[in-house]
Amino acid sequence: MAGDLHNGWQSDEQLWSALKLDDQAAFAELYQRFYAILYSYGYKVADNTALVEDAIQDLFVDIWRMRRSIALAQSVKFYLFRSLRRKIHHLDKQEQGLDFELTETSQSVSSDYSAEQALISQEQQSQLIDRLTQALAKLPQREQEVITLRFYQSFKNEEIAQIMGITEKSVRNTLHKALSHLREQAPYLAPLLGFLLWWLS
Amino acid sequence: MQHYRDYTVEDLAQDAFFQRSVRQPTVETDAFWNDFLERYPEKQVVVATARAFLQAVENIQRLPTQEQGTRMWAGIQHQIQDVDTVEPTSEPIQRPIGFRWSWVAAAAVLLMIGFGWWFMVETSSNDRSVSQHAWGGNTDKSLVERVNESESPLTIHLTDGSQVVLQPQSRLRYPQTFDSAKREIYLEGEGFFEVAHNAQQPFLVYTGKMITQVVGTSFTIKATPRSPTISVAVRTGKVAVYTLNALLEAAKNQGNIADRLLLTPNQQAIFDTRSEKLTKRLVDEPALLKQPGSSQYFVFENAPVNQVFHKLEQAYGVTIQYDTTTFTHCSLTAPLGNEPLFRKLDIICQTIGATYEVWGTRIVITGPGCQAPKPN
Repeated sequence: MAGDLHNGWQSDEQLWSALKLDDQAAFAELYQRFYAILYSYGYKVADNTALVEDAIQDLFVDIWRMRRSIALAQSVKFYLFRSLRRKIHHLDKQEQGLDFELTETSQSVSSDYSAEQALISQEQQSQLIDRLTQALAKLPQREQEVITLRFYQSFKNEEIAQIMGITEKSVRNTLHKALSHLREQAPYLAPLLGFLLWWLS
Repeated sequence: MQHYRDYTVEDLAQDAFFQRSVRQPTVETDAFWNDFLERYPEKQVVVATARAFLQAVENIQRLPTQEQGTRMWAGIQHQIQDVDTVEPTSEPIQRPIGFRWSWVAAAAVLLMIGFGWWFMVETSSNDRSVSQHAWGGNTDKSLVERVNESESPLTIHLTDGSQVVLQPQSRLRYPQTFDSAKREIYLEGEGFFEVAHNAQQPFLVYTGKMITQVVGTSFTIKATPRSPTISVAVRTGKVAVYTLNALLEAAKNQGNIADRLLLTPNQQAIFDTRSEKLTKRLVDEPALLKQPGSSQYFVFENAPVNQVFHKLEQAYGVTIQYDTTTFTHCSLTAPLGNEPLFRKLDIICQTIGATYEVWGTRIVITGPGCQAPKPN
């Protein structure tokens, strides 16, 4: 299909330039490229499906409306993530929604794994994944958010700081806390997570 | 590959190639890490942990359904139709408090019908992911794709100094920066490759279920979609060609790739996409390996034909088989120049009353031979 050849394969930044020139297909492609990961990130900011969907729609409507005046200082992806987070907070304030700090502290961190399950081999890989997943899922929302940005979206600490509107030091601290929590939850992982902790400290 | 040896869990978890290997594993990435762990078994725990960590991070992500994606898009479209009648602004939208997109959804379903082309875009991107899959399942966005939609060949310069001449209606995908262990490229259609020499970083071209591996060389690949064959023709250097199945087999048994064809200049491999069999033969029009120093190189004056054949073998890098005793007394006078190899052979064979056939990569010449000159 001609549209496929034409649209599909440019960089995000080329797509953005086309969008600024009113290219609707580029706009559609931008949405296609990002809505899923934006949604998954948005859900880490506020676990409220309707709120996240609204924020994503507002974000894209704004982009189209303001396409000629938005100046990108960093990557398109960075812009989208930072803007989405702001949108979610904005909408959330309007709706008197969640208190993020409260959510964070209300999470309990518990340990239900025993040390003898500590062996790691290729066969136990899937078990390891399951446990890590459970442990990660129990982390406070904010820590999950930082981990998502760092390891799922591959942002640098500096970018994460700007997206979340906090200092780089807080990013590092939050990551450190997250990994400490993981260690508390799963003591048998300690020697391995030590690798992770080592670079954060 | 060896630099991964010094990686910690942290380094690996952040490494782009490693992340890709975990999130969009392909036959190639699996083979790479199997190979790595075979060489450095002490890294098992580090790799296992980094992999588990990335997968766990992925597991806690909540992705939207296709319906959610379509619903949001319909909502955006609806809103844009309103704003688009006015000039683009620099003001964000001001929505009344309590406004909910979900209220718009019902109306948006009707509007979707009117925006057929938007969904065409969506459908085509689905098609694309399918075709990407067929190329090796790699859907990573850090790959650059170039499509030659023009009428003339397109030259693409790669970061490693290699260059590809992409024929019209062909597409090439490659990473923005090559992985340090190998240079991997995906081709659909026809391309002529001139590969920068780097023994540490093999160059691999994936075309459907056939893989071409090179160290430094130039060659043409024709992998036209839906064509029953894929061909690789070597101009210079050496190339190894093998099937995806052979690679899989090797990865599974942690061994070397067994059935691979080694190609030298003017040889080509033909891959039958139905039977998945590879065969080797001469290219249709063998080229001179290098331009002869003199234009008189192929001008023969009463030259023994054995010597003529030898010269052709050298010049074109081909093997010519013939019975030396039969043709001992044959000699040739012919001012040959830059005719194609097979035209030269026609002329020679006509002169000495012989015939030639191409068998795979060999040219076989047969004939009654020539009479010994009568002694005076």
